[in-house]
Amino acid sequence: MSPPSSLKQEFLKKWIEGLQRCSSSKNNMSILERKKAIKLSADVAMASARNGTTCWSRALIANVSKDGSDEKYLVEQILGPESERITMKKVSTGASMVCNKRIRSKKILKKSTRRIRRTRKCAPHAALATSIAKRLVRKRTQVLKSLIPGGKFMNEVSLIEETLDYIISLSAQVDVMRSLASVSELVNHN
Amino acid sequence: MAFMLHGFHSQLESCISNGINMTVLDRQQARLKWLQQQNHVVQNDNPVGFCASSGPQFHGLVGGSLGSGQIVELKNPEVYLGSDDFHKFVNFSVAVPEFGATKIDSKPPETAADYCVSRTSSCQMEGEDVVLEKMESATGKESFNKRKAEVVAEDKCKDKRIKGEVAGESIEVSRSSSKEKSKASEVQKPDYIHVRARRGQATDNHSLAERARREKISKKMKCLQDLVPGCDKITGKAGMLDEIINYVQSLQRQVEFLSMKLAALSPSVEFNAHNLPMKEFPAYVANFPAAAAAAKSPAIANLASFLRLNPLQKEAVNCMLNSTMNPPQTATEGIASASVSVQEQALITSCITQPQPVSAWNTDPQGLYNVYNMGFH
Repeated sequence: MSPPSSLKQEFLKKWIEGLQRCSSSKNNMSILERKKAIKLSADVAMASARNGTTCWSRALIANVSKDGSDEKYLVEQILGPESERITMKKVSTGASMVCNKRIRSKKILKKSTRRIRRTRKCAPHAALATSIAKRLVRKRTQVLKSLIPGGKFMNEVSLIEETLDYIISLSAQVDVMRSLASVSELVNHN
Repeated sequence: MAFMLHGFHSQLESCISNGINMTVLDRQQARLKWLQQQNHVVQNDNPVGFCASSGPQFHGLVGGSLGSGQIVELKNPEVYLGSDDFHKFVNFSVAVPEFGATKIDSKPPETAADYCVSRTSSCQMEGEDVVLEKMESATGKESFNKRKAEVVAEDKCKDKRIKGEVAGESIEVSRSSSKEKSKASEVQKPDYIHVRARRGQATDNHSLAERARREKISKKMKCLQDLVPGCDKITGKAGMLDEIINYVQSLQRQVEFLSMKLAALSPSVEFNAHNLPMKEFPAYVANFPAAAAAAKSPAIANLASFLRLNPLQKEAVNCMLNSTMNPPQTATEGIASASVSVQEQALITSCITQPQPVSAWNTDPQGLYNVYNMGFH
């Protein structure tokens, strides 16, 4: 399933606008700063192309516009009037802080029960295999949660949905950037 | 007759404990009563006997049918499979005297099924073995191992179920009733999620909800399987998650690399693009060696269609892509990381050597915008 071209076009449009606004702020940047700005504007464009419908997009924008980060200014520049609408959804991230505490307490509880369980006798082979499989799956879910923006606060079902959407968006982003890079190279070599 | 009703009462009680919708039982009772009215053959004690002993809900129904409808003559085999008329079962007259009595205790389902088949064959039904086997294969292994205890509203499904039960009942008979496996299912309403409770699985709300949740997750994992390349052969959650993680990581790395590349390219690009009028572009492109057999990879086709380049431009882009870039088609980690590292180093060295105009960044977006316009006009 390749990403739809409508998504790509929207992403490109927003990205270009963001880059324009981004560049007007600073005059002279090193290459790393440029790369950072490009990537940032690309990510923000990607997230805003979703119009706040998916959790990862909101979390991405919220992460970038965290209070006290220097990128917040850039984001506000890029998003313009939209930033207010999406930061309104920051209310959900307030709830996410409560979720964070809940998750932490759950982890403490889990650790304590895990230690208790280890003292039990070894289960028969079938149960052992399933417990190993479950442990593997749990570990990998943790890794996936760390990869997807805002994944820590999702349950398993929504995590998989968000992963699906995130993969589609990322591949659209990669396609657009790659095509742009190739065209720039083409023009460059002339 | 009274014994029959007593069997029903015991069933009722067991069904109440299972929390099953009473209307189904009412329907069963009505049906059975109608059956009994139709058929005046005396019921065997045997089918009634195990009717009382085991608890399943359809038992009385089928027990009645078995008692009354022991098969001698089948008009046509389709009666089993497609018929909606239950009363055709009624036409079968009693042939086998001792069905079930000897078979109640602890017979494995296969032999019970065999018995079923042999019973029918003993009645000299030619088509029937085939029919019964067809039925077995149609209902599949699961009718032997799992009890279809679904409550269905439509008649067709009911009849199918009943036919399934004829084969399934023999198993019921064979299994000892001491194994109290509770079977239940949710009532079929339009809003509810249909969950089939299998044999030996708990039926309280928590486990049903959990099973529904698990099925949702596995459905979504299947969607992901289509999306992530190279996941067709992997079964199991852990392997799939591993592939998904690798793919997401490689995509993120590609974004990083490409943004770096664009950052490196942008000053010189913009410097040139700014001076470059649009109509001279085909001339520049014509200088490229005539791209003979450019590999029509899907990425290039996508790029060309996406940017809506004209044929000359397409050829140029093809050349470009074949010679310089090696777009990673697969999402394997090794390839992506290798390409990233190699090309990143090349980029960085080239950036250091290139002179970078101070005001270049100002013109960057303008140049990019030109490129964008070129693509869309």
